[in-house]
Amino acid sequence: MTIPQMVSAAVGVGVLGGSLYSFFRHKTRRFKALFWGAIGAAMIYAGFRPTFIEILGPDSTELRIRLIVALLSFIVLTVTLEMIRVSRMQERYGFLWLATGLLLLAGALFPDLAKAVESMTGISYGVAVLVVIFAFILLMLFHFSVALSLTQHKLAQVARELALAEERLRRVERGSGEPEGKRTA
Amino acid sequence: MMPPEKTIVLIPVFNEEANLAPLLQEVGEQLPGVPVCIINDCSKDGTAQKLKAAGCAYLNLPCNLGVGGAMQAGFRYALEQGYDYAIRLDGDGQHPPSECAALIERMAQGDVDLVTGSRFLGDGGYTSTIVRQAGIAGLAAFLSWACRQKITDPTSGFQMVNRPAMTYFSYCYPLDYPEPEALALLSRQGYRFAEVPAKFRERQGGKSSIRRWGTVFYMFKVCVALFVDRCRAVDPRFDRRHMEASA
Repeated sequence: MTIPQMVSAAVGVGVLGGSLYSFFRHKTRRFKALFWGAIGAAMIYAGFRPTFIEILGPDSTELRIRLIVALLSFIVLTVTLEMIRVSRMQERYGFLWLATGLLLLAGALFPDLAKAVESMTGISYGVAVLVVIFAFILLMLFHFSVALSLTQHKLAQVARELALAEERLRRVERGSGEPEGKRTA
Repeated sequence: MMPPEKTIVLIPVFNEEANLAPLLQEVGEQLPGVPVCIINDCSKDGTAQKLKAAGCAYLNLPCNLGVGGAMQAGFRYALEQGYDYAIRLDGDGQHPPSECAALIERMAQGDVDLVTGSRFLGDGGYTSTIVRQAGIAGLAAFLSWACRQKITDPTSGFQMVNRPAMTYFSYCYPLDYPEPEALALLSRQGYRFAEVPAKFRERQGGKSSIRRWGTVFYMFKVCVALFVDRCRAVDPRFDRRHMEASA
């Protein structure tokens, strides 16, 4: 057993133990505990059988990229859903992120899909992933510009209404309906 | 010449603490009895405190919107209060209230909705940096073409508007650097406007809100806006021709 394998196994034991402990003490949610428990178990397993990824297929560049992309899409999906769940992000802004995550996940799960894209466009899997990410980032930036403009427009409206309401309030508090300084010629 | 009844002077200010009192005094002398509304575009100096003692109506915007946003608030106020005409003076004292007479006279002829005081008509003797003057000249040429009407001073904010134009502006007015685009929008909606010669002063104190790089950005922003506005559909609710037909 090499040192990285031992480290992996040790960290895996820690992570698995921690997730089980916090789950049984009701300190964390089921989903979160399952997620970390799975990671811990995978690390322990990887400590003993470093070639276990070969179960998924022959160890190749494509497989590694698929694993990375799967991890990436998993992160994108969980983070987006979590942000929506705790109301830090509105659903409408989450849609594009979810679509990105799902598309990446589809590409990772179904290599045939990626092969079809490859045969159609002639770009390889790794590049296609980059193209997808880049295109979605552009879309999202565009979306944000639109959303920002809309928000600014609304903000200006609110600010104006507030200023007018405040002026009216000042007039009412002074007890005269007439605005200040309205002099008769 | 005295302005017609129901005229209000709108003064957008941003960090004009020092200019405020002299300007108000001058307005009081030159346009006696005309109510004033100051729109404080979230100044960071003591303008808000000075306003409390100014003895005229004022609006305090809770965040900085730019001169266009401030003016729109002013137009909303003027409409709500039932004014028929609004004269805009800039808070830096560039627009001498004594020059308002020319605007009022032109407006009294009744054939236009907006009158602009132009620095370049007559012997204004206005000087500025070369970049800015070239920018203004280019803009004037472009805007004159877009409006099919000779415009000599597209960036002048020294204006008098009547109620129909105010109504439109209270609905639609660009947020920053609004003057050229406002003219283009007006012309697109079928409003009429004219220029009269006016002498401007150097700013009395404080700093201009447009800096050197601002000039380039200004030109770019305005050109894009002018171009896009030409492609926009005429809003039938505020179509001047339609308003006249229904009136």
